[in-house]
Amino acid sequence: MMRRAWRLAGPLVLRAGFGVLAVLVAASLAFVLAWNAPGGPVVALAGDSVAPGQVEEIAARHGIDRPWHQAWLAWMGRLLRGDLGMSWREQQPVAALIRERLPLTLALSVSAAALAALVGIVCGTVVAARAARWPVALFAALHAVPGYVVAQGLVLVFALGLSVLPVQGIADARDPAAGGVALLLERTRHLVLPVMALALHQLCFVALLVRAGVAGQLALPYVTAAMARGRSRRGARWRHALPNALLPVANLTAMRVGALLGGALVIEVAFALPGLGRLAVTAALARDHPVVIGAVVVACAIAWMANLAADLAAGLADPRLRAR
Amino acid sequence: MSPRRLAVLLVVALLAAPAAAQPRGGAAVIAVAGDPGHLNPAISTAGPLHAVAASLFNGLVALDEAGMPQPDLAESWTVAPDGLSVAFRLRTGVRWHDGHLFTAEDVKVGFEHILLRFHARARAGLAPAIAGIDTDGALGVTFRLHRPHPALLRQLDVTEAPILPAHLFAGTDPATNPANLRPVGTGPFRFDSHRRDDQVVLLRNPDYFRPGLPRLDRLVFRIIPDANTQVNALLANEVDMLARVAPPDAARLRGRGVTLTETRAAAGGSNCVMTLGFNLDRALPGNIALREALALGIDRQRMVDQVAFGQGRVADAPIASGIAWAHRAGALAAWAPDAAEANRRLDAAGLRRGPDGLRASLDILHFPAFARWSEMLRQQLAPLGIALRVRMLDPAALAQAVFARRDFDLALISYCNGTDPEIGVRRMVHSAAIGPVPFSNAAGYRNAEVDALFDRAASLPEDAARGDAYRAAQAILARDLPYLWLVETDFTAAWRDSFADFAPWTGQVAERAWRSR
Repeated sequence: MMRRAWRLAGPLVLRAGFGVLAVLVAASLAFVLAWNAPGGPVVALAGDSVAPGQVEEIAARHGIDRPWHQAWLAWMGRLLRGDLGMSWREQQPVAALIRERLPLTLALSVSAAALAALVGIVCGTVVAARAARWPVALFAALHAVPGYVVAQGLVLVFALGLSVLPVQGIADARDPAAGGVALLLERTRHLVLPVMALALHQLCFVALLVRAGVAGQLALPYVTAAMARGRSRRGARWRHALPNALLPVANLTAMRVGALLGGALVIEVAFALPGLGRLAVTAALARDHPVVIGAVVVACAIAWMANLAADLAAGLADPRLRAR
Repeated sequence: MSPRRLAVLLVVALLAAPAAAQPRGGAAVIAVAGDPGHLNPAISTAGPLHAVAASLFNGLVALDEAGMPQPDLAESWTVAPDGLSVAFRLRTGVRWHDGHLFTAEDVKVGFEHILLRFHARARAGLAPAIAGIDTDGALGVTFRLHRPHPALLRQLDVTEAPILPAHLFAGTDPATNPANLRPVGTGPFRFDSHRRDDQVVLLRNPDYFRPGLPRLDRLVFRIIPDANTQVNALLANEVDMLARVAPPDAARLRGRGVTLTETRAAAGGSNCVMTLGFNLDRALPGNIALREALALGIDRQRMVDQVAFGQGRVADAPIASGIAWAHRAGALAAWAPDAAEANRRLDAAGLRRGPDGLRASLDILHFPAFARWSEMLRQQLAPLGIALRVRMLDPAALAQAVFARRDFDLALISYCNGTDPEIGVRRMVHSAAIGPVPFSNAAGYRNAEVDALFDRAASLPEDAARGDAYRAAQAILARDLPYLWLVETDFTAAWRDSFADFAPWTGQVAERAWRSR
C-alpha cells in the first residue's frame, strides 16, 4: 500500500524538492549579482544631492557594509522562514509589494498566453494546408519585432489614430470606476492593447510550431487512412493532425513562461502598468536589493510551476508519458 | 451714490473680477517619470519624490520665479545687524492636514531632528552654519548662526527645507516613520492614496492658509516611466500636464493645444548646467593643454541647437546666469570654437597624432539619458584626433564609478546650481568636497585660492560683496578648466490649454492652477 502510494506520489515529491532547490539557487545567484552590482542605493535613497557621511550611514542602516557571504547567510535564513525582507526605498515588506503587483502581471501574461495559444493554433492549422510560403515568412517576421515597437504601433493605431482604446494605465485617472461591471470594463479596455502587444510574439511562435506540426502529421499514413475512410481534408486536419501536433506546443509554451514574464516587463513600462516587471525595474535602478531578489524568487517560482503544470498536463494527454 | 463713487466701485469690481472668475474645482492629471517611493521630502532630495510630495508641504519661505524669498509658513523675518541670527514670525492659525495647529515647535523639531540630519543639501549646506534654533512663543523662531550665512533664506523653501509635523516625528526614526507613507503636511493639497508605480492622488486642502487656494479639487500624479508614452497620453487627453518634457518631444507637442513653458527650475533642482568633468587625477585629462584643446574644439552653440533644441543657452561662466548676482558674464568667452588653435595646443603639448590620426583616447561616463550629448562630443572631437569611448551607466553605478572608484577620464554630469552657489556650485569645486559623496567634486579639483573665495563668499552678508568673490573664483575656474561648462539647460513643462497658472519652477506646481473648461 505504502509502496504504491510512493510510486504515485514519489516523483512528484522529488520534483517539488528539486523545484524549491532550483528557486533557492536562482535566488542566491540573484543575490550575488545584486550585491556585486556597481553602485549602491545611496542615490535613490538620499537623492540627487548627498551629504558627506550619508553614504556610510545608509550602508550601515541596511547592512550593506557587511561582506556579501554574511549578508547572504542572514538573508537565506530569513527566506527559509518565508520572510523576503523589507524594501529599502519603499519602506514596505517585499512580500506585500509583490502581492500588490502580482495579479496584474499574471492577468496580463495569462491573457496573452491564452490569446496567443488560441489564435496561434487556428492560424497555424489554417495555413498548414496551403503551399504558400508567405504566411511562414509573415509569422517569422512578426515574431522578430520587439515588444516595445509592437506596443508603440498598436498605440498609434488604436489609441491615437482611432481613439478607441487608452494609451496607458489600468484606470481612468480623472474618473476611475468604483467597482462591479464598470470596473471590469475599465480594466478590460485598458488591458486590450498591452495583452495584444505581449501576445504577438508568442502567437507567431505558436502559429509556426502548429503549422509545422500539422503539416508533418498530414503526411503520415494514419491521416491518409482517415481520409480513405471518408474524412474531409479539413476534418483530417482539425480532428486528426492537430491534436497530435499540439503536444509539443503545450510543452514549449510552458517553457516560454519565463520569456513571457520578461516580455511583460517591457510592456508594463511601455503602458505604465503597475505590475511585477515595473517593480523589478524600479528596484534594480534604485539598487533596492531585497525587492530585486524577491521579484526573482517569485518569477522563478512561477516559471517552475508552469513547467510542472505542463508536464502534468502532458501526462494526462499522452499515456506514453505517464508510464515513466 | 455719486457718479464718482460708482466709478471707483466699478474699477474695484473690475480689478477684483479676474481673481473671482477663475473657476474652482476639477481635477488635473500630471505625468511624472518616476515613483516617489515614499512621500517624505525632508529625508531625501530625490527628484521624483519632490515632484509629488512638495504639494503636500510648505517651507518657511517660498521662492518666486526669480528665486527671491517670499513669505510661506513664515510671515516675516528680520536678519540681525551682525548677520548672526535670523528671527522668523510664523503665520497664525495654520493647521496640519490632521487638524493640529502648526507652531514654532514644528520648525525646531523639523530642522534639528530631520532636515539637518537627513536632507542632503540642508545637512551639507545649512547644518555647518547653524549654531542653534530657538523658539519664542508659539509663533517665533530664531536661527542662531556660527557666522553670517546669507544663503539661508534661499535654503528654506519647500524643496530645500520642507517643514514636517513635530507631533508625528518627534522622538521617532524619521527614516521609517509611518507618516512617510501617509504624509501629513500644511500644503495646498492633502494626501489621499498612493498606488505604487501607478498614481498618487491628492485632494484639495479646504483649510489651506492662502484663502481661495488651491483651486483644483483633485491632483493626480500618474507615474509614466516612458517619455513617449507620456507624450501620447497628453495628446490623447489622458493626462493634463507633463512635469518634464524632453527637447525633441517639446517640438512634437508644439501647436497641438498644449502650452509649453520653459523654466530654469523644476521640482528638486534649478539652474542646471550640462558639465563635462575631467578626472584631474589621471595624466591625460589632468593635462591642461588637452582640456584647453577640448574647450576650443567643442562648438557649444551647436549643442544648444541640435541636442537641447534651443531649450537653454551656452554656459558662459561656471556659475549659471540664473544666479545673476554671482554670475560672471563672459567668463568662458575665451573658449570660443577654434579648431586650428586647439590642434596647435595639442601639438605643442606633445600630444601628436599617431599613424591612425589619433592623438588620445578617453572614456566618457554618463547616464543613458545623455546619449545625444556624448554623441555630439564624439563627433566634434574626432577631427582633433581625440576619440571618446562611451560608457553609459545608470545613476547608482555612475556615482560609484566617478566619485568612489574614480574610474573615468571624462564624466558628463548635469550639475544643478540651485538658487545660490552655496547650494550647488561649492560642492563641485571646493577641495573639501572631494570624496565618495555622489555628485560632489567630480574633477578632484584643488585650488586654495578658489576654496578661500568660496569660503569668503559664504559668510559675507551682502549679495554684492559675495558676488565679487564668486566672480573672482570664476575667473580662476575658467583658466584652470577642471570642468567644461557646456550648456545651461532649461526645463520644459507642458499642459493642455484648458489649464492655466501651473508653476513648474517650484515644488508646489499646482497651488494656483485652475481649469478653464
